[in-house]
This record gives sequence, structure tokens and C-alpha cells, in this order.
Amino acid sequence: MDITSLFDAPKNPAYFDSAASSLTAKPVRAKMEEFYSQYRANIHRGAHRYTKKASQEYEAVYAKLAKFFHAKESEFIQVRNTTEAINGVALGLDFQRGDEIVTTSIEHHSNLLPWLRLKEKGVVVRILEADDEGKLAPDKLKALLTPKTKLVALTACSNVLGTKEPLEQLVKVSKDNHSLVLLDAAQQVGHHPLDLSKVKADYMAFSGHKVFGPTGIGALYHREGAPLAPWFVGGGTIREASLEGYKLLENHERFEAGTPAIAEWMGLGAALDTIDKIGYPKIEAHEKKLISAMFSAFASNPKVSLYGPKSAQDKACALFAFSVGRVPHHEVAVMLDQFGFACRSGHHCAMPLTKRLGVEGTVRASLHVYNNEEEVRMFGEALQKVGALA
Amino acid sequence: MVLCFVALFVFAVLGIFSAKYRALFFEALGCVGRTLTLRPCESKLDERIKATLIAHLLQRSPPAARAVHKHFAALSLVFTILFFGSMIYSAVAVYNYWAYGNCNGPNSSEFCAFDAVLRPGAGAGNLTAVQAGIGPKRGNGSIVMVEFGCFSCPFTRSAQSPLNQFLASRPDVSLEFRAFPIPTHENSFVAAQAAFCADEQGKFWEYHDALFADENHSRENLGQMAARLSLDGTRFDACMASNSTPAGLRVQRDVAAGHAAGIYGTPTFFINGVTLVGPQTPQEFSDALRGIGTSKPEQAASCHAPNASG
Repeated sequence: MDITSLFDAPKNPAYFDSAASSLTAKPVRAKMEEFYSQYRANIHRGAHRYTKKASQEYEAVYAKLAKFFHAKESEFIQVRNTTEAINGVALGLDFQRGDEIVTTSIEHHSNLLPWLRLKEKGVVVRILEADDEGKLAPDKLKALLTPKTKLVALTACSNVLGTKEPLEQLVKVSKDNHSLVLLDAAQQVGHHPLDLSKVKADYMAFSGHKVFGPTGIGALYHREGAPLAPWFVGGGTIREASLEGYKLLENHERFEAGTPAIAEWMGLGAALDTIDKIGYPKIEAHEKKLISAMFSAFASNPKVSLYGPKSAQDKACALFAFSVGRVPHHEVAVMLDQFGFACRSGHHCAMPLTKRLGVEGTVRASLHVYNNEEEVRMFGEALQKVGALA
Repeated sequence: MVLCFVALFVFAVLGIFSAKYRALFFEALGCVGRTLTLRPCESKLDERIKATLIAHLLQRSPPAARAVHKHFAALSLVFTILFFGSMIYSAVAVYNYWAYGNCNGPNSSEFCAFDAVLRPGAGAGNLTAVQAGIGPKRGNGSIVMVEFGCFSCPFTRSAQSPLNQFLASRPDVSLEFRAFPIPTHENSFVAAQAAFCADEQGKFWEYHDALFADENHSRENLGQMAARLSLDGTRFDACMASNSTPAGLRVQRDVAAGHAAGIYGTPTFFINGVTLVGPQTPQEFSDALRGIGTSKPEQAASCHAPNASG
């Protein structure tokens, strides 16, 4: 199957910003259009055929998620994005003064700020320091855990460094300590499979817009039995209500107050179908080639400083943060845009990590299945031109 | 960054015509505000301008791009000063035009560029064709183009090269020269008189070319030019003794004819019923020859005659 036929990948500039947001697959757009044009109706309301069809398609996405992640349908909650999901866990867990949370030095702000905010309640936040290439060590994590460690919140893959992490061991160490585990899988799901029957995290969050899906939609996995209270209540969340009180539903609906993002949720389902259609082995093989080509492009340019893993086998995805001499990162990104490559520049919502790298910001080139080696070759040439300034 | 000040002004003007530039204007405005309070520009407009410029330079000349990148702050400061200097200069010119009718100030006879826009018909429209057969003629072509020129006028000088190219390509066209020295140009009259003195010894065109090749038209240098062309020095000096010698009278006659024709600047060409003012390209001469163009040409850059009606 021709992967490129599934996307409208722009050519000039070529899209090298997939870590911020991947391109939306054509079947995703088609699915959303199908909803709007054929059975546009609210879900779980009334008896007409449109609402029935919409509800059926909507509910089918939970089944897709369950199959995709080897979990149960009832364990998934619709959210707007990874950030909302993690904040939901921070609000939905009953943290007490003295409870401890362990997170890491390479987190996106979305998996750091919600925990730092809990310090106001007397919660202790401990930081697991990654090594210079962004690798998290299970034994270092073990040393930080105490009986009071209520939650370990980890990224499955850094959005700045793209380092491959020993996820199963990190989760196992945490579970051995009887701590809850939350995985920020925003940069993982679009690139590698995540089998939640093996990686026994209690919570896992990802966004649709990073996995070929629409914006404004994501999912929170919430392992059956793990504590979590709804952070919103309202329409659609209750079994019954009176002027004295209410009884929440038992299933995922108790977390999904109000009319949900119906089309986007269906789009998310279509995005997972698209990944299935391509197949993770093919995605991984393609990215492996891109990673190798990118390393070659960087290696031939002595003016470029590359952050994170220095070898292809340590990269989880084709995501590279770099700087060019002392040329400001924003200027490099603008120049690359002029040369035909849409890259991101800045701190990438990971200021503590950027500071640790000793820079104000970096340029980030992040590729995906719709990119190709010829683009990487030309990117290398463009980088040589920018390197002339350094 | 100081470049935001230029951007503010430029985008303000462009913003009149396009919403895209209005957005950039507001970005520049924010940038200027922050620059004035010694804070970095949040919108990064300055960095975008710089990087875009340098990216274009990198495509053409990496060493130049490197140099500009290295000294960008200083260069943008110089550019900004020049920009606002020219704006002030233009504002003064506008005031002069409003107050005195000439952008160069009171009592100035220099050419005013605003005439081209604000008085499009001035002078050129009043030109009347002149008769050929009076001045020295170059070439044997049956079609005669008459040029009124000033040897001390930079526009007449710069007109020579394309004019000669045109004449070389069109042997059917000959050129007749009439002197129209601009009084405000130093030595313009004596240079024209000297050319006619050379004509008396059969070397007008050689002297004509020498005058355009050497800008020094002092009396002493005019004599040296004559010597280099092997003219009889005694005859030349006698011819130059006063402005009432036959050569001097020829100059005065040409000037009178020029004024009668309504000439207001040099060079002015008459060809095939079309009047051309200012330096022209060979193609423009060809177009005029084919009757393309008008007898009221745009007021091109030329040396302005103070007594012209326009």
C-alpha cells in the first residue's frame, strides 16, 4: 500500500513538524464528513435513525481503542487532548498532604505543571533526572520511590529528544512499589504499538492530532479498578439526579459531561484504523530509514549540535532537536522554512529540559510516514546552507 | 530591533491596501513599543525579517549572507537612519513644493521629481517640433533626430551611450545636435561654445565626445581638449574670446530656439513627431521612430532649465 496516498502531504515547505501535530489522514477527514453529511445528530438522544447511527459509530470507537491498546472498552474516556487527560488525573485522584509524585526532567509541561500545582496542597514532587541523551533509568527511579509515592507520571517518549525509553521496566519498578503509573503517550502512539496488557500503566493519555487524527480530541486510558473521580459532572454523567444529589453512571460516561466531540471522536477511530491499515511494522521500518538518513545529514554538518540520542537504535521516532552554531533557533527555523522545510523552534513546552540542554531553545525536525529520504537529503543541503552562517 | 521602525512605516503604507499587511503593521507596532522600552520583540517579527532576508542571501552568496548576519544590527541601524533621513528629506521637499512650487526650495532651478506626478503635462506638452538642418549632424540617414543637450548635464551625458547604440543599429537615422546649456551648470555655456569652435575646424563630434568623456569643463581644460584633438589653438582661443563670437552666437541662437520650442530640460529629442525628454533606451528610440509613444512623454529625469514655462 502506498502510504503517501493516505495523506495530502505538502511539498513546499515539506512538513517536518509532526511532533507538534501530525498530518490528518484522508480517511479521518472522510469519516468526519460522513458523519456530518449522512447522520449528523446528537448521540444517545431520541429514537430516530440518525441518532441511532451516530451513537453506534460513536460507541464503536471505544471498541477500536480497546482492541488497539489491548484493554477494555470501559477503560477509555474521551478528552480534548493529552493535557486535559493528565489534568483530569491530577484533579481526579485524591491527593493528600505528604503524598509523593515522581515525574521526570524531560516532561512536556502538560505532564509537569499539573503535578507542580499539587505542591500547593502539600504534595511532594520528585524529579527523575534523565541522562544526557534523555534516557530514564529504572534503577534511578527505584531509588526515588517511597511508600508514600502515590503516582509515577512518565513520558513514553520525549517530545524534544525522541529517546526510546525502557517503558516496561519503568512501569514494573513503579508497580512493584504499589504506585499508580501514568504514561504520557502523546509521542508514542503514532509511532509504536503500546500494549497495555504488557505495559501495565494505570493511566495513559494521547491526543488524536498526533496520530493522524483531528485536533481537539484525545483519550485517557483508566485501568479498571484504579482510582479516579470525574473532574466534571453534568449532563450525560448521571444515573439519576434530584435536588438533593445525584448518582453517577458506572461506565466511562460519568467522565464525559455534556455533548461530546462526536465527529472528532469518530475521526480518532478512523485514525486508529489508518494506523492499523498501514501497520506498525511498516511505520517503524519507514521511520528507521528516516532516522538513519537524518543522522547522516546531521553527521555531515559540523556546525550542527544535535541533542538527545546519538545513535539510531536509541531513537523512538524521527524527532530531532538541534541548533546551528550560535544562530538563534527561531532564525534557523525561518530560514529552513524559506528553504522548504516546516520545522518548529522554541522550548517545545519543555523549558526545564531546554535549560538542562543549556540553550534558550532548539529547532525541532520531526518526521513521519509521509516524509521520505529525498526530503531528508534536501533538508541536509538546506542545513549546510544555514551552517554557513555559524 | 530598530528595523521594526522601518517595518512599522512600510507596513502602515502597505496596510492601506491589504489586510495581510495591516496584521504585520500591528506586529511591528508591538515590536516598536517593546524596543522603545528596551524589551525583546515578542512577536519575533524582527527575527523573521532578518532570517527571511538572510535566507534569500544564502541562496545567492553565502559569504555576503554571513557578513550581513554578523553585522545585522549595525546594518539595520544604518538602514533605519538612512530610511528616516530620506523620509525627512522627502518631507522637506514636499513642503518646498507646497510653499515655493519647487521641491528644491526657493530660487532653485533644479529638476523637481514631483512635476512628473503633479504636473504631468508641464513643459512637455507645450513642446513644438524644431526644424532640422541647423546644427552639426552625425550620420547620413535620411531621418533626422534633433537633440537639445547640455554638455555639463549628467542626464545628457548618460543618454549618450544608449543613443549611440540606437544610431549604430539604425543607419537610416542621423543625429543633429543643438546646444541648450543649463545656466545653473558651471561652464555649460563655454563648453557648448567650445564645441562649436571645434566645429569651425571640422571636429565638432570629436570634441562633443571629449566633452562627455571629461567632466572638467574649465576654460583651461577646454583648451587642452582642443590641443589633444590637434585643433589650431590660436583660432580656438579667438573663437572663445567672448560669447559674441560666431560660435557664442550659435549657442545663443540654439538656446533661443530651445526656449521657443518649450524645452524645459535636457536632453530633449525630437524624432518623427515624437518628443522624448531625458535619457532613453534604444528600444524607446525605436518605438518613437515607429510613431509609438506620444508627443507628451513622461517627464523623465533631466536637467531642468530655469526659464522653462513648466
